[in-house]
Amino acid sequence: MEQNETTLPDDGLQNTEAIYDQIQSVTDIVSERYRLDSHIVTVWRLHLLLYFVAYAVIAIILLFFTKPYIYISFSIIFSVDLLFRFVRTQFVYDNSSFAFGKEDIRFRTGYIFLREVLVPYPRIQHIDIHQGPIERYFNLSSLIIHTAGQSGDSIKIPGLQTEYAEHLRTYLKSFIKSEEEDT
Amino acid sequence: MNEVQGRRLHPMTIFYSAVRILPQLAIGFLVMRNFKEGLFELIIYFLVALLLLPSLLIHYFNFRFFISGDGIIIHSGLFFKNKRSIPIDRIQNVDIVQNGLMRVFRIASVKIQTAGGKETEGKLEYVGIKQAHAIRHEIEGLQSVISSDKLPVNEKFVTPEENTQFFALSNNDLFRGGLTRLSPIVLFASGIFGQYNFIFRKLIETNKTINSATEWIIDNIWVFVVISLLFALIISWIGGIVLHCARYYGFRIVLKRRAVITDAGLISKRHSIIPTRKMQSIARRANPIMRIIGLEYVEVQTAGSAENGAKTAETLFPVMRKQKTIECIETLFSLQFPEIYTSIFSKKAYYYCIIRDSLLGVFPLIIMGIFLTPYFYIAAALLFIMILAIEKFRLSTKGFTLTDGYIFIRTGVWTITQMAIPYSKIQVLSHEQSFIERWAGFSHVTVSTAGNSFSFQGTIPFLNAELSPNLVTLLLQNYRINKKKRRLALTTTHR
Repeated sequence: MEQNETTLPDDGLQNTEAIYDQIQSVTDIVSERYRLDSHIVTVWRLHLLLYFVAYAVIAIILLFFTKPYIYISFSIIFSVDLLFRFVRTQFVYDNSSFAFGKEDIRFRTGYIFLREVLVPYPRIQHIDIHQGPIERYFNLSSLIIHTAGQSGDSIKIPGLQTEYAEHLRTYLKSFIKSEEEDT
Repeated sequence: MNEVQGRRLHPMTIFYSAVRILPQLAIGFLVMRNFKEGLFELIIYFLVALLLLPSLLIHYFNFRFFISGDGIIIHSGLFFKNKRSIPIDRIQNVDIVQNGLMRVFRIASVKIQTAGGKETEGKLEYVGIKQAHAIRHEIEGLQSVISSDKLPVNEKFVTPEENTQFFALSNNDLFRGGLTRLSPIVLFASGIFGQYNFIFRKLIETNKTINSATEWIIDNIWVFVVISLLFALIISWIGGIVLHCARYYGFRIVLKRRAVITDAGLISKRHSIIPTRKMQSIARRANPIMRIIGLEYVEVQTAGSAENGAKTAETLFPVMRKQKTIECIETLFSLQFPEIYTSIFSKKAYYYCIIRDSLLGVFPLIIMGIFLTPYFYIAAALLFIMILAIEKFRLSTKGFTLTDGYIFIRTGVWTITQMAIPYSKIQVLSHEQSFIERWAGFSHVTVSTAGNSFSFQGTIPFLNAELSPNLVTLLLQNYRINKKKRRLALTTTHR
């Protein structure tokens, strides 16, 4: 593990090839990637019912108060959107995974924008567990890891078994430093 | 006696607040003039005034604050009692702000900033000037008592009074900065002014009697458009000079233990303390005119959220000579910016940018050309040529370098920014791929710090998709090595 850590020279200035070589030579030790619970796809699809209800209400209003072509075009847009959201859930599930590095937790997700966020353990500010009504039925929770950075820099790992999420929280909590770090 | 009953604000607060409300009252007065004339309007006006004045008095008489070793406690409100307590060790900054009117009343506003959101911030509006400085001194004294327990032994005996003036801006640099710093906000404002400028109106009005001249104006209206644009540019330029000079007049940096204090201002004085612990990254910026003359300015990003209106980017050095900023940064932080950056330019990236921009900009123009007028084809062609040039320039300036303690990122088209982010300040690392980027085999790496300023985004784009996880790992390793090292802290000679 220790050999992989490359220390950089003190003089600072390096040329292009050296840096690219250096980047290429880095190897990383990561635990195996963990998948989310497969029931989360069902949860996400049930969440789409809310969208369906909202769209249906708008469509009914449009039916009564506007001309037919507006109603029809909006209905088409809504159904295409719903279909896209429905299909997307499976792809998001396929792309989502989390892993543990040497001193960090990383979560990868997305469909159109694939994004992997890495949070070093000392940077974790606090950890939340969130559970919605549909998730509760499937005994699932999502783990939210907050950092001092921007709001977009927090990780939300959905679709964890509740017991596992709690176990993970206690595990990660042990890394949170009590004394104030140099932020 | 003060400690039991609490301290009050300066009595002049009532008068100052009353004066500050006057413009709002005047607006109400004008609205009512349109509504109805006569005695009725005056009655309403006085009613409003009568309602407002007691609120000022109530605010004044119910506002009390305590400063003790535990922290600052602020009581306010009559019906809804508010009590806000700020622990001493949570206080990041104590800012003293004073504008021209406040100086007439000899008062100042003290802002107590914390790392948290708006709920944890304290404002003392307003206290006397001497009292404001005394409060700041007191808080700093209390802070040094608390922090001295944690400090290493050799640093314990440095008292906060040992201030040294590190830097003062010369008048030449001040004026040069005004000449070269083209502020877009002023340009926008003067553009609006240019719309209604009286010179042209007068010209047209006086020429109304002469038929031929009027016709010439109507036929060649573009001449007036060009002239008014130039007029707006000149006005904005002059306005920019005045604003810059007023803002940075007498700019000086005083070094305190673990903090940089900047003082500036002609009409409204600004005194801000930037604790080195709060500094996240440092950036050297220059626009094309500055680059030609060899000037630049330095900004520093501080921790905190931008949501509550707190500034997360502070000017460390206003516009001045490049050699001088390099020198100052080196003596202050022992930090050297690299001369050479690792380029991310590749032909593939260039084509990718051209295709992306064409899809967004040129393609809609061509469609408009089909349906509206063929003039849009010319616009599309011009835009395409512009995209070719700008993207080449943009990609050639982009670059990054990794050194012992820092990652340097250079970016920008108009204002070129060279940013230094210490590894020890990294909060979160991420690499991202959009749909089109995945197809082209690119990805970008984002380095986030605790700061929140949009202009300080540390993004390295157009990396080979296989390379970006490696770069993230390398940065993570460097973070692990450097996390205990104090970066962007003042060098020992200035501590």
